[in-house]
Amino acid sequence: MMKKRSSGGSQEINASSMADIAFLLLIFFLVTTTIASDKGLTIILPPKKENQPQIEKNERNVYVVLVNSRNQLLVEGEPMNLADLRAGVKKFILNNGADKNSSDNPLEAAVSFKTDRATKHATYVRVYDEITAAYNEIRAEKLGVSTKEFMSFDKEKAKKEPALVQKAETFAQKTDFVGDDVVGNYLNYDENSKDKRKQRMIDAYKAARTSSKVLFVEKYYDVQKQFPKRISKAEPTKVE
Amino acid sequence: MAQFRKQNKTLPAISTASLPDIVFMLLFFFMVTTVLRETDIKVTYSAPGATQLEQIEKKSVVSHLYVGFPKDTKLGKEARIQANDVLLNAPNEVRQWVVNEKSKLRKNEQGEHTISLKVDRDAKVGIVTDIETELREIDSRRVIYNANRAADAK
Repeated sequence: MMKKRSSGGSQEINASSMADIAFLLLIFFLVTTTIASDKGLTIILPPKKENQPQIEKNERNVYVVLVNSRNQLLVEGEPMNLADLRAGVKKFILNNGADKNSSDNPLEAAVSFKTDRATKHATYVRVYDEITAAYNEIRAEKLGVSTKEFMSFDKEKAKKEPALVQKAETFAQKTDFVGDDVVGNYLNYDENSKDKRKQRMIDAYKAARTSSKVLFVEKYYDVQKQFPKRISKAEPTKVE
Repeated sequence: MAQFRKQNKTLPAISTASLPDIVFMLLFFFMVTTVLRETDIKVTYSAPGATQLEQIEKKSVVSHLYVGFPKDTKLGKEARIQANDVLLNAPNEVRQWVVNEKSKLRKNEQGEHTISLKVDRDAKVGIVTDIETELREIDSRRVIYNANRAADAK
């Protein structure tokens, strides 16, 4: 009788505390988990000063954005509110020679952004963000998608989505007929391309993104590079 | 009465035996997703807001650099740079750190090495510029300014 009892006790381990233990561990990991917010504004810095070729750039093709130590904005010599900057940049890029004091075409157009050393980083990021937003909005418009769609473009996923690749390719074909005044010309940007027309575009692009006498900018935001980068990554390796 | 008893037999208490399994499943999920913070952040960091954010594609090629005001008030009020676990004394120390970080990567990934700048929103541009000058010198020019999503002005 005694034997039976003891064996009955050890027949199965009471598992009810298992849940408690697991919960404890779970809560520990819940608390320590930091879902990393690895998001930010990307930028490719210009090469070091000695490596920068001196390139003349027409003054009207440079949109000068200055921010002082009190975080105030001076755009093309006039004070401006941050809220108006995006529209200003867009108008400048898409001028296409209409206004004699504004850019010749989007390829030539460049935004020079310079801040004081004492400017707050938050302001710096916001201004850079607005300039990027202007470019992104133009690109989205040219692509015929909403800005949100354009921004949520997932490069890795896009490789697997032929519909998006198709969209990019038809756009590239279209812009071949439109001419140089379309930002999307850089769609087929490829460093090693042998196509002369593309090569010209690349040269222009390279010229545009290096600092010049007129520019003497600390940072040069040629976001056009990011446009082709964004799309060309989506394309499968192209056979020419 | 007999009927009542019968019903009682068919409806025992809900078994909680599967509860640990469920909890374990959740536990494993969090264990896997958890990235234990390797470094102790010694400077203040509250991310600035921006709208045109891009996700870092390859996390393995990214090195993080913190810039902010020291939490330890004895260290002064000037913004400092933190690389891994140490506060740097001068921006030119960034150079050695980046070279070190880069050498940890595989050869074919070294060109993609990206520096994620986690700069406190109240820090000044000056110190960031100093870092960037160093980065340009050693041709490590891919940079991400970490930021939180902010409501679009438009």
